[in-house]
Amino acid sequence: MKLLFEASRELPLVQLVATFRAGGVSDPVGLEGLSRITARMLRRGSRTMTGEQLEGRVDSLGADLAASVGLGSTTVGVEVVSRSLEKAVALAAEVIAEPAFDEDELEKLKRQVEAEIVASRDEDEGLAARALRRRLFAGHPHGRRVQGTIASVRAITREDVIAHHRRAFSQENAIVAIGGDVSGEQATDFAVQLTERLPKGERLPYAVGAPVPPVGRRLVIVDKPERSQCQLGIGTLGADLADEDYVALLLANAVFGGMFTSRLNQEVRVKRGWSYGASSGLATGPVREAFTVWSAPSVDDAVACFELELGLLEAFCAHGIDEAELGFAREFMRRSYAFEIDTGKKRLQQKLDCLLLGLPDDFHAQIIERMGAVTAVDASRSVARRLDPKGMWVSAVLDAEDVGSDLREAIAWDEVVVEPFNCD
Amino acid sequence: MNSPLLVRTHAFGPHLSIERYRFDNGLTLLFCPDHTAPVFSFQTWFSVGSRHEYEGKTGLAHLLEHLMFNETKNVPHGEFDRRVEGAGAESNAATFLDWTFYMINAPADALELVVGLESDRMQHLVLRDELVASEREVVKNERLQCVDDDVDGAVGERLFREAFSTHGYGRPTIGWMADIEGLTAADCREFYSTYYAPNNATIAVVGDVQREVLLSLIERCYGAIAASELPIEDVHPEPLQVTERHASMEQPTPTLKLAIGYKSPAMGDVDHPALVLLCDVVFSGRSSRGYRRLVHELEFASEFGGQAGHFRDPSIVDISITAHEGIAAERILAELDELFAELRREPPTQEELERVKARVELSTIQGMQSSSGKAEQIGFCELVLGDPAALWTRLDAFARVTRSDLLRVARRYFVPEGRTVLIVEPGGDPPDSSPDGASGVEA
Repeated sequence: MKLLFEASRELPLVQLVATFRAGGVSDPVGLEGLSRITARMLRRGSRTMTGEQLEGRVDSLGADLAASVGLGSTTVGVEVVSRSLEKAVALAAEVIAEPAFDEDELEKLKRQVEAEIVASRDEDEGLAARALRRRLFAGHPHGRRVQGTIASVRAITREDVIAHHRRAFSQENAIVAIGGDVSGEQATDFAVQLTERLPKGERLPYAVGAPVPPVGRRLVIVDKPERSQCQLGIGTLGADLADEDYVALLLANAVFGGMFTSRLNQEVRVKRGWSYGASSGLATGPVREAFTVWSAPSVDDAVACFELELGLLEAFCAHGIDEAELGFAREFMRRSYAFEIDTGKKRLQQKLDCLLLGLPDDFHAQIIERMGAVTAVDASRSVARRLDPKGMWVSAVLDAEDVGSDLREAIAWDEVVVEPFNCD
Repeated sequence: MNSPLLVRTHAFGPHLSIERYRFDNGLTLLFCPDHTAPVFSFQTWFSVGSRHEYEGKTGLAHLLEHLMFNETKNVPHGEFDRRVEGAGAESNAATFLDWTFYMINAPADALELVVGLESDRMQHLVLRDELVASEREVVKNERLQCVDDDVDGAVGERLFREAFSTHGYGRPTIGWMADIEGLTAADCREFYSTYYAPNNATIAVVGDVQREVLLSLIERCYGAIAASELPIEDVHPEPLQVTERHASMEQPTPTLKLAIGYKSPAMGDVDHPALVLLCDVVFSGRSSRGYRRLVHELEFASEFGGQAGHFRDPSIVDISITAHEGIAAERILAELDELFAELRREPPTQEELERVKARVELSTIQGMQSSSGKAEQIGFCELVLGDPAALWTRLDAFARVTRSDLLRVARRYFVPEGRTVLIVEPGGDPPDSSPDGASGVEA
């Protein structure tokens, strides 16, 4: 077990976080959602408490309990007022190590998750994002949905949950992060209490290879009737954290779509008013992740907006950025870094993220320092090396028979896929 | 301009305090020194929101909020955002029923820049036709994104429209689409000159700022701005609702939804703290009665929530429910009716009361973690309650709430004749985004 600690005594509040190196990517094929179901089952009863008693106890302590799952990790977090700290540690330790995994509760949870998956189809932004990731990372674990699908959730059994818990929730696989109104000595004691009832186990690897870059320009239309607005995403592969181009790409992305004054937002929102916002992002991870462009034009502007964004992206990849743009972005990122670390909770989370990704504690501060050495020529070369505007997926949520047909005609696509909005 | 008057100091939690200053032109400054990080939040809260609009001009307060980032006599178009980002700062703004506020979070050494930019746009905003036209398009897209193509947004808008027959709270802050399209630069200029004045503004500053430097800058940059004569608000109090209202709408959503609004008191009302706690008993968290019964035991709902309105005037307890497939609205309503009937017969247990008090204490402390979070609480509480430290002083009010209080507010507010029920059926066209689209009836 690794312990991270960040004291912050201004408020009578403590954060207790237990993270395990297992998430959506380690779910077996056909059982997607297993990590998340397991994490949520922790709240539905333990050795001495029913789910109802447990939730009542959490509230009585003045605590928040959260269980969340990402691609590579599962986190159980408790935020609690200082006076209840010791009781909260005892409760969290039991929740983590001694879940009941009651069969009836599991069936109820599966039905609830199914209903949540259906309800999530209301959110067009989520539909566009899922369609893009599913296509961009097709056949790769990063393309799978952490929540699972209705079919995969239905297939999960109590035995699957117990086996996953036994494998993932172990001392060797745990990172404990404690911060807030607590001393280092207390934190050490609490970390032991939180994990002492877990099996020793082993540290699980993040066994994921590099994704295959997309070839050609491909369009996925998420067919949803009666849209007045189109959620529009463009995605290609970016970089991983160890990539020598990573820092330069961060700066270049800020220029292209990472700031309010970026090229993308200026052209789409400020000059034309086509979308409430337009931005680009460079996702980060231990393997090559996505570079995405997002906007939400009205259906009347959707095709023109896509053509504009594609043109901007092509120009960005072909010509890069200039020194003035680079200098501005560097200064913005250097100075705004203060807001990445202005609370103890953020500093603790940053340390946890670094450890999970195998990075040094001061990785983010190092990034800011390394930005000083990047030139516009470096950044432009990095963009040209890593971002391929000829290999991309585009996702659009709209009526396939209406604006969808115009978008199909916009460029010579290598592939066009239409999928109903109510598929998983 | 004379030196600002230190009116009083308010305790703000265990370690902080808020200094209240009053300037000659009516400007109020609420300053909370906090040196835990080298950053600060500078927020300007105007006592004007969509409640001050009228039919035909809805969305005006919100459109003006967008335009405040565009151009002044001293700062060319686009330069505001450029200077803010150049300083490593972030800016944002929000408009709601009772207020409009502007926020810049910045590194500690950018105070002069921030005060300069904020004071400049309070007095020198330029509202050219072409800029208004361009920003109108952005707002129309925001409306499409947040209301017309967003089921929850469309439902929320409709619920308020049905629940308020007279009061301005029934008009959407973002505005009806037809009204947005008709807003002109002249409308914006008039609204700006009427309401954007120092005597209608409160500045909340929290963070790593030196008092003398701040006061000197505020005096220098805001001192010459004249106070304005604020109009008497043409407010129309909502009549007492004596009959249950029902409405329905269709939405392209896979499952049935319900939105219910029970008439509730103003945030400053003596009943409000008890009602907030009672709402927590019913709606808040997985140990709440409503969640246990409707989501967990009966599996009628996949999503369930509700909260009392935090507004200057009486509003509604706003409840939203997403049904499981195949569950009819009548079954959900019957369960909810039974739940409220229980609360009118017998108050929640002492254990339930202590539990929700602990939750409120936790959320109060959680709201204090960043300088911007603190400034937002200070500005909001000042505008709505006249007490910038109310985040903490209300904790005392919550602590005094008894089971008798819970019984009283259950009987007073959770009554069928005081509610509006909106049933959202799957299917159909997008919402009619005009005020005439209403089809509610008094049952």
